[in-house]
Amino acid sequence: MKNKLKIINAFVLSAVVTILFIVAMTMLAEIRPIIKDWLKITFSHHWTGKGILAVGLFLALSLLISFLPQETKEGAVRKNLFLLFLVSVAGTLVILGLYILETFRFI
Amino acid sequence: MSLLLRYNLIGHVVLGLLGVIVFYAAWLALLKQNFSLKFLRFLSGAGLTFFLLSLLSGGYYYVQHYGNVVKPIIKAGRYPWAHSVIMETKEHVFLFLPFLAAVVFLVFWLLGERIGEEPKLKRPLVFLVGLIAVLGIAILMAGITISGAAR
Repeated sequence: MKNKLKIINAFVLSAVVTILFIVAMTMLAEIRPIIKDWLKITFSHHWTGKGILAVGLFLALSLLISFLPQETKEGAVRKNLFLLFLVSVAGTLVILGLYILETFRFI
Repeated sequence: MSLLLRYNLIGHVVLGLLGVIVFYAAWLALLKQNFSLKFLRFLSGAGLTFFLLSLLSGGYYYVQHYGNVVKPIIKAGRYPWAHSVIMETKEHVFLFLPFLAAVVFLVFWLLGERIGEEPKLKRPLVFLVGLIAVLGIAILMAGITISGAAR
C-alpha cells in the first residue's frame, strides 16, 4: 500500500510540474520568439517540441520522485490531486487569457 | 488534402469524442454511491488510449496540413480569432489531457479499493475526472468553431 501511494504521488506531482511547464513554455514561446524558434529548429514544430519535452519531463520526474526515500501518506496524495485540479484550471485560464490579450493587442 | 490526412482528421475527431464520452461516463459512475471499480478501471484505460491516439492523429494533421493550408485561410477570413485564440488555446490545453488521464488511470488501478472506502479520497477524483470531461467538451466545441471558421 505504501509503495502504491508513493508511485501515485510521484505521478500526480509530475503531472502538476508538467502542466506548469506546458503553460510556462507556451507563454515564453509567445513572449520570447527565440524560444519558439529554438523549438521549431530542434523539433521541427514548436507544438511537437512542447509535447515531447512535456512527456520526457513527466516520465523522468515520475521515476525520480518514485525513488526518493520518503514516506507518502494518503492525505498528501489527496491534497496533490486537488493541486493538480487547481493547476489545470488555472493553466487553462492563463493560456486562454494569453491568447486573448495577444490577439486583441493588449500585450 | 490527401487521403491519409483526411483519415487523420477523422480519427482525431472520433477518438477525441470517444475519450470525452468515456470520461463523462466515468464521472457519472464515480458520482454514484456504489460504483463498479472494474467499470471505472476499464473506462479510464480506454479514455487514456483514446486521448493519446487522438493527440497523435490530430498532431500529425496539425503539423503536416493545418499550419500551411487551413491557418492562412482562417487568418485571412472573417474570424481570424478562431485561430489566434481558439486554436492556439485548444492545441496547448489538449496537451494537459493525457497527463490528467494517466493520473486518473493509475489512481483507479492502484488505489481503486480505497476510493470506495474513503470519501475524502474520492472527492478530488470527482473534480479531476469532471475536469477532464469538461475540458474535453470545450476542446470539442473549439474544434467545431475552428472548422466553421475555415469554411
